[in-house]
Amino acid sequence: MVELFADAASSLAISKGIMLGVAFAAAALGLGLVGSSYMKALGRNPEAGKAATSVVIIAAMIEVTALLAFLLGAFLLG
Amino acid sequence: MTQLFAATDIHISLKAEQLFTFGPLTVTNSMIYGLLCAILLAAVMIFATRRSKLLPGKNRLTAIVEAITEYVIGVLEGAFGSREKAAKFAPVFGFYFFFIIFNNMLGLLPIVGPGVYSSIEGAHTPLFRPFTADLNGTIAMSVIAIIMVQYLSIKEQGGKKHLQHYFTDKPKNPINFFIGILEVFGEFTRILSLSLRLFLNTAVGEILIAVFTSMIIASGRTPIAVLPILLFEALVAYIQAYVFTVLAGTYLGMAISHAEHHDEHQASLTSGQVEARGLHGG
Repeated sequence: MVELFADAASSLAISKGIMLGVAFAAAALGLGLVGSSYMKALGRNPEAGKAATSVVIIAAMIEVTALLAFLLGAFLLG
Repeated sequence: MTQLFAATDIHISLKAEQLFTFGPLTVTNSMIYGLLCAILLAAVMIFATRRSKLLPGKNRLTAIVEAITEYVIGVLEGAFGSREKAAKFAPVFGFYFFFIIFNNMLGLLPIVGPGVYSSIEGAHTPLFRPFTADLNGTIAMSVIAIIMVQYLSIKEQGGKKHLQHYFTDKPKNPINFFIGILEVFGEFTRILSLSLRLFLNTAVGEILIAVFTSMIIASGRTPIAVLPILLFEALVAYIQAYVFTVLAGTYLGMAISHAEHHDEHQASLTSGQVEARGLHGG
């Protein structure tokens, strides 16, 4: 079998780093989008303050994906 | 036996650790902590409600507990759509709010987690671990929440209406039947997502505090820089309690909203609909 990855030990560490970085960056981007949309809606229509419950729930749902990546990357893989 | 903030090596564990065995039962540190928290919470609640009066005196504890209860009912009002329903189901879902926030806040104390070690049966493990930072605990909590949702939904609107929530009123239609089966599987997804969210947030917070503390301790300084992280974790503790309560309430609200939709259509108009009707002269 052709060895694609020369050094398994260091490539694992690098892949973990890339995985955590991408996951956290994407989660931060998602949270930022939720927050910015909420603020825009609040600016256009102050009645949108009723949506605060949904905003918190959506934020928690985005957050859990990042935490799952943390669990996988930090503890489960290798 | 007791070492406060004295561990320079990081003690990180994702699972609860065994303290001793009681017959066939393995007693872990999170079980001890959860039991202690439950007893303490029950004591606080009983003490607070016994002093409850129509005209409040100088009892601060009663005032605080009543204010939080009022807040929880207000939160559930958004999920159920009416204050009567929110007050009716508040004992079930308010419990989750109180228990999670009590657990998480007490879990930030230095005696919980790798601070105080037990030396029972020669084991060197932390004596306490937050109950919500143990996947067994959070799965138990969310399974009870989902079972309570099913039970209350059937009690509220009857078994037939409850099944209609999944399979609509024409279950012979193969598409409706298939979607109904997917909905039933969705309940298991809810158990998983509820429990994993709570567990990961609390466990990662504990790890964060442990890592920062040991990093600062290793350079021989007082870990005051951990204080902002502790405050952030207090915020997370509140948000997770809020999210768990609101999500569990929303699941029940969604399950019993169909009954209203057919019977009391007039009563369940939202303010927007009322406004729209008023504008068109209806």
